[in-house]
Amino acid sequence: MQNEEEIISRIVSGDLIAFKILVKQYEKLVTFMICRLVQNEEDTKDLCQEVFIKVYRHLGSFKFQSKLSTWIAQIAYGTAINHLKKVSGKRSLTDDIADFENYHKTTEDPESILSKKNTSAFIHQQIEKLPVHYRTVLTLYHLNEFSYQEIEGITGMPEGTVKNYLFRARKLLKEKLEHCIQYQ
Amino acid sequence: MKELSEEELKQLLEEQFEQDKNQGALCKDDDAALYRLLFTVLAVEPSTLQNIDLAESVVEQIKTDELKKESIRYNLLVVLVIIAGILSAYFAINYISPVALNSALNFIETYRWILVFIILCFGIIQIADKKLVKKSLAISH
Repeated sequence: MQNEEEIISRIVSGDLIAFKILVKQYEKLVTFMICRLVQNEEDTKDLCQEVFIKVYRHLGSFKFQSKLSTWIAQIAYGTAINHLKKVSGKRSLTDDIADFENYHKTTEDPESILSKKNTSAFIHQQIEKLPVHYRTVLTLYHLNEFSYQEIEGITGMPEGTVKNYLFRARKLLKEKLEHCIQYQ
Repeated sequence: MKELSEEELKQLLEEQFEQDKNQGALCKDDDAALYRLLFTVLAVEPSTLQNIDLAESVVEQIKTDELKKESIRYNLLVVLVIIAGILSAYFAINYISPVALNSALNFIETYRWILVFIILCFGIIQIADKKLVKKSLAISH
């Protein structure tokens, strides 16, 4: 793999082949974040594209003060959150955390829970129902393998909040899983 | 994503149990097994997210944006050159012969609508030409 600094300097001087290499390297990171946060297939590809175009335009201002992956994730997070704010209108994104108590009161009947063919699909389905900030920390920590400090840098949430959201999200998912297994 | 090692799983479990206890939650016997299963699944890439190929489309979009920018830059340059040409012609004629300038201005004043019409026609032909070329290029691709 080529040195990241070398690739960046090639991209800044207009080398699109080098940029293609960078996109391929970080496409999973961006796709996972956008898909998990936005949850709309039609918007996903456009938003992922938007993120990489922003990366291309602003790469010259990247000063290597953080990892490139953290910087790209920061752009992806900002783009997704702005999109969600636009889509959800006046409703604040933290409102769904306030509502999250209702998450326990499942509307699903045991029959439909039983019909979930495998645990993995069931858990991913349940993640989609979590509040956006929970989905964010789960994705960044478990899928993208960022540390708590890096997640703090990406989302701007204090480390304590990141941990708290992560533990609560996992506890909720565990309870759902327990509920599902009981019916099986 | 990489598979979680036994050590990583243990560490995650310890952290989770510690937090659960801090929040006053009772830990049941089968919690460890459930969390283990959960952590393993959380590290697996969702299958629906694996097939998006971005590199090609992003680079195409960047190229299109660059072309647009270049075209705007070119058009601005043309406008600037025309304005500079008109201004220098004005001052040059005024310097050489103010009478000639007056009669030129009178001519423009008299036939202004015809001149406006000619300029508009020229502009429309240019725009139509660009659009038609773009369409025919798109069809040939």
